[in-house]
Amino acid sequence: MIFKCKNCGGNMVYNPERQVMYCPFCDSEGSHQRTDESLGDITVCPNCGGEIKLQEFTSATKCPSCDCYLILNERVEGEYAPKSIIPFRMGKETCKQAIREKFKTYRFAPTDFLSEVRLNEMQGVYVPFWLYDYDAHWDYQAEGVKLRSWTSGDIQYTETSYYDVQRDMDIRFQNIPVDASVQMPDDVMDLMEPYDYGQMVDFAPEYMSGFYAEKYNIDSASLEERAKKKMEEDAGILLNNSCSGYSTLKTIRRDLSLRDSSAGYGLLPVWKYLYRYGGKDYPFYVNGQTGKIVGEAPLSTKKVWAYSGTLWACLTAIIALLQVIVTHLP
Amino acid sequence: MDYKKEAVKQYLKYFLVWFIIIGALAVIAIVVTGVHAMVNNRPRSNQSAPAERVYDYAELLDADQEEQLRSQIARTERAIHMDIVIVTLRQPMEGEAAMQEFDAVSPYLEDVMEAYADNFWDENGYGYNKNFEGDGLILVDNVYEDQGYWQISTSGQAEDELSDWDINDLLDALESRYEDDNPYPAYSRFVSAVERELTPEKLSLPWWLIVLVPIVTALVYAFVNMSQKKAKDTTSASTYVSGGRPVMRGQRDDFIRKNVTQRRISTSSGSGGHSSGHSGGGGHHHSSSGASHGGGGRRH
Repeated sequence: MIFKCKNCGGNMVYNPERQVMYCPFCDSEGSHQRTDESLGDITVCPNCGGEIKLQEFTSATKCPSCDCYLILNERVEGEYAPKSIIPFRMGKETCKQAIREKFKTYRFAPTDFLSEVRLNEMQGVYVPFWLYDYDAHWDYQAEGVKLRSWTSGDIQYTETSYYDVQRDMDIRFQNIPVDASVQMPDDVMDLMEPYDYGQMVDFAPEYMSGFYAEKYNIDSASLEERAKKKMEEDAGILLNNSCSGYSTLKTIRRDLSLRDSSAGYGLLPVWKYLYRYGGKDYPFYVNGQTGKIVGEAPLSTKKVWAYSGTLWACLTAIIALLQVIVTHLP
Repeated sequence: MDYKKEAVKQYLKYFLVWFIIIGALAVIAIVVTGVHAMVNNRPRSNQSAPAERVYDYAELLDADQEEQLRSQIARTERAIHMDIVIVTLRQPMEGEAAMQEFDAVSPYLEDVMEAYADNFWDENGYGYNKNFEGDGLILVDNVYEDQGYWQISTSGQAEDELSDWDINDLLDALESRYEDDNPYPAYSRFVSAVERELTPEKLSLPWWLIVLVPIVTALVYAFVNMSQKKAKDTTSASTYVSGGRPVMRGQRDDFIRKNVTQRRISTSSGSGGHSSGHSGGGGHHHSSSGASHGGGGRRH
């Protein structure tokens, strides 16, 4: 499907800042209509006839010839219909600004790293995520020890108190995200969190117009281990937090049971900037909702040498000159 | 866009302040060294003393060594504005006869040597700035039989500036390189030591500091600017918990029992310290001509 403007026929896109469908050609808002021809596994753009190369999991893309955003019906419907989506909140310009801000003090990046031209290559991508819910329950018992010590005269007293500690606790985890895209590195996606689920809405294809997207690459069952591990870690921390004040806890019973679990399919917004330098890719990811940036800037070895070397030379010169001045003062 | 040009521009902008500071310091350094050179160019003002500085009466040095010693002394004199005279002797300097001859206060070797050195200086009228109590010092080395003795006699500015400790250092320098059949290295070292002792002490950084500080700073700078983290983990254990916290269904913290142990604390008291100090006094005396001298000697 393609979203076209009723007024001018141009390609309408979702505007993150205004949160409306917007026509960049005639400036109208909300005047979109959907052309519903199924795009299937197309090889040519239905808008201009230009050649299109689809990748296996692509569900939304841009025609390289006419810059028209295409959404592939079959990959966002049926079993691939996302339940929910967090629409982009940050537009490209805001995102460019954020990246510039973050790396502006970073001296050793190649000069064109933050250039307009390079940053314009940035792409907004909806990344498929599985969002897991768990209804967990802790049944915990331990012997807790508290130590208290004080001094009277030259005698030091140590009091050891023993307690029966029990916790019966429900923890409802909601929407633990695990990215279902092979392309996206897991550690980066984890660092991109958290998303504000308060802005999560039911899925509608309109939000995808103007962006790239993938359908899930891997099903929810195969990815559940990661969510479960995260859930168990968090549950463990929360249990420990609830038992503070003891110097040691000797566990008697520690059972975590799951009463219910489910997984939902959602799309979360990510800006992606791929910078190639010295034959290596430096990917940057920006949370399309919160603006959190994940990525390491490339290092220009030349600049490291030039800047550190100059600093070294300057300092040596300054100290040497000071030495000359001091020893020759009357 | 030309990124090379842009990179150079950024680089120059970044280091501009540094370059300006260096430029300013360089100008100051040039001015200061110029002024220093002008002020320090104090020519010798005593024209009455002989030009000779090395009197090898005992014939311990060959002609080459004497020449080298003379030129070393000449260089040093220009630098520190002091006369330096070296005399070698091979003659009895102990007993009544010597005492009479050199007008000493006692027949002992120390006193005769002292009198000889003082008189030699005074009678020749040495001193960089004037011929009576002028600035400088004399070394007299006697190698006669068992009367081996070094006498250093100071005058004027040298007398004021050299403490007993300094004289001792000079004698140490002499002794460390002294060989009976070739005293030249010892004399040469003595002259260097005199230059070191009488060069006004200036605040001077040790060379390793000058080398090390910039290297360490540059390394730290490179490291700090190179290190970066992909991003901070901004999730917590309760990020995905509904309501932000767990629901406590039951909680018990029941006291069961306690026990108390006690331990005697051993106390230890501190100990006092010792301090020691040295104080040196001046070894000043007057020669027969009435001029004031300082200095000291040592048997060898």
